Amino acid sequence: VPDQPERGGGDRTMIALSAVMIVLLLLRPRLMALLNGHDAVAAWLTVFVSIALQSLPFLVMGVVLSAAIAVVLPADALARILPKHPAAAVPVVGLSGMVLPGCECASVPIAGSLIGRGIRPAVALTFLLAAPAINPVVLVSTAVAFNGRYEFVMARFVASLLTALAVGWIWLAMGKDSLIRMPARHSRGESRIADFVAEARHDFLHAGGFLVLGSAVAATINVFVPRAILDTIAGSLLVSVLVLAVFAVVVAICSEADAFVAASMNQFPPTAQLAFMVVGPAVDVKLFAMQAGTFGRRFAMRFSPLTFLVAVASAFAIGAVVL
Amino acid sequence: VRRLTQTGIIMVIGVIVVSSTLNGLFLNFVKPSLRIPLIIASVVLVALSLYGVFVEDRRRAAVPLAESMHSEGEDGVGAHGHDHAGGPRIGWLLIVPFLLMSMVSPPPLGAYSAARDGGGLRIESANGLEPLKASDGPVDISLSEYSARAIYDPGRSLEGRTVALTGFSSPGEEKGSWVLTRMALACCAADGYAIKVVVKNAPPVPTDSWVRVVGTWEPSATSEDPNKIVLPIVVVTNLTPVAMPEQPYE
Repeated sequence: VPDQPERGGGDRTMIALSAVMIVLLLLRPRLMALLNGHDAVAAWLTVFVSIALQSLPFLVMGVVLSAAIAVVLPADALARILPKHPAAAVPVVGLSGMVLPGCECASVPIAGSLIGRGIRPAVALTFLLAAPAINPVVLVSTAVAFNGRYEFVMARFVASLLTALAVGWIWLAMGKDSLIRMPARHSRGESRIADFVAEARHDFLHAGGFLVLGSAVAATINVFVPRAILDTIAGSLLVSVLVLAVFAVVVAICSEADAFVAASMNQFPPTAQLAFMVVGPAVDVKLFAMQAGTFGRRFAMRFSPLTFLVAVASAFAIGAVVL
Repeated sequence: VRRLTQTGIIMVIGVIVVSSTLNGLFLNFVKPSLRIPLIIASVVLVALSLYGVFVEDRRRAAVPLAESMHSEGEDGVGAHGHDHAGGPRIGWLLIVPFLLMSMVSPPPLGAYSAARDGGGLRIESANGLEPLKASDGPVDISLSEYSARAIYDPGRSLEGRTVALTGFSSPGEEKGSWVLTRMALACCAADGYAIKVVVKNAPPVPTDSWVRVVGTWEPSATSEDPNKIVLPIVVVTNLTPVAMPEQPYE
C-alpha cells in the first residue's frame, strides 16, 4: 500500500517530536539552571534565537508571496511579456525583481520555475540576483537599519541591480547553459490552493533551515570573535571591503535582515558596509548549497565565484561614487 | 521531512511564537514593535499547517491507489537527495531556535555582552530632547537619555536635578568597580549594544543584578583622544535592587 509508509513514517516522527517536547518541558527548570554561570553560552543562545525570531515575519511574507506568484501567474505569461531578445530581457527582469518581495532563499525556487517555463537561464539568473537585493522590503529595512541615511539605500539598490545585470549579460555571452540541471517541482498540480500551500510550506522550511544554519554561524562570530579583531581589520579600504564581503558569504544572513548587521559594523568604511549588503544576497554559503541542490554542483561552482567578483567590483564602484 | 511532519513543525513554530508574544518572552530577543508582525506570521503558519491537517489528509484518503503511487514515483524522493513531496530535510533545523526559546528561555543580553562593548552612544547628539520634566522628587529617565543629556546637552539640563536610572551592573574599567548598564537594540539581539553610566559613591553590587539608582549628574572628564569613549557619571544617593523590567532593552 503506497500510502502507508508516508502516513506511518509521518506519525512516528510526530510521536518522536512530541516526546522530545515533553521531555524538554519536564526538564525545563534544569535546562534554565544550566545556563547559570555560562554567560557566553547564554549570550550565544539569545543571539541565535533573536536572529531566527527577527527573520520570521520577513521569511513568512517572502514565501507566501513567492508561492502566490509561482502558482497564480500563468505559465506562459512571462514569456509573452518579455522582450524577444534575451539581452533586452535581462534589464526588464532585473527591474521586475523590485516587485517581488522575498529573500534569496525564496528566489532560488522561482528562478528554477522560470527556467522550467522556457525563460533563458541568463535571464532567470538575473532575476535570482536582483529580486532578493532590490525589493521594497529589503530597501525599507535598509532605510530603517541605517536610520534614514538614504544614500545607503540608493547605493545598495544601484550596486545590486548592476551586479544582477552584469552577471546576466556575462552569462548570456560566456555561460554554459548545459551546466544547469533542470529543477523538479514541489507542488503536484492538485489545485491552485493546494499548490500554493505546498510551495509556501516547502519554501518556508527550506529557506528557514538554511537561515538557521546561517544564524548559528552568525551568533558564533557575534559572541565569540572579539570585536577588537574586526577593529584591527577595519583599517585599509581594500582589505575591509574584502573582509566584509567574505564575512557576508560566511554568515549568510537573509537579505531582509542583513542591513541591520551591516549598520551595526560602523567601525568599517561605508563602502565595506555596502559590499556586505551587495555580496550577501547574491552569494553566500546557504545560497551556494541551495543552488548546488537546485541547479547542480557544476553550475554552482562556476556561478558563485563569478557573482562574488562582480558584486565586489560593483560595490567598490558605487561606493566610490555615492558614499 | 514528510508532509505530516512538515505540518507539525510549522504548527509548533507558530504556536511557540504566538505564545511568546503573549507572555512577553519575545522581548528578550527583539524590539516590542515586532509584536504585530510576529502574530501575523504565526497566524499564517498555523493556517498553512491546518490546511495540511484538514484538507490534504482528506484528499489523500480520497485519492485512488494507482494515482497516488504514480505521483509518489514522480515527485517523491528526488535525484538530489531530498523529498520534494514532503519537504527538505534541512527544514528540521528551523524548529531548533524556537524549541530553545520556549524550553530554555535564554535571558536577555547582560553583563557578558556589555563587557564586550565600550558603551558609547550610537546617536551622538542631544537634538530633540525636551526640557527635563519638572518634579519634586527624582525623575525617571532612560540611560540613553541620561547619556545624551550628560554628554551632548549644551544647556546642562541635568544641573541641580535628581534623576532615577534603572539598569544592571556590569564590570567597570577599574578592577572591582561596576557601571550601570542597559543594552539597546537597533533590531534584534544580534546587534545589541551597551549604554553605560559610571556610578560614584555606590556600594558594591554583584554583576548582572538589576538596580534603580537615584542620584545627581557630575560632569565627565574630557579626553584628548577622540576615540576614547566618554561615559557619563551619576553620583549615587540611593540604590535599591529591583526586578528585571518587562522590557529589558532600551
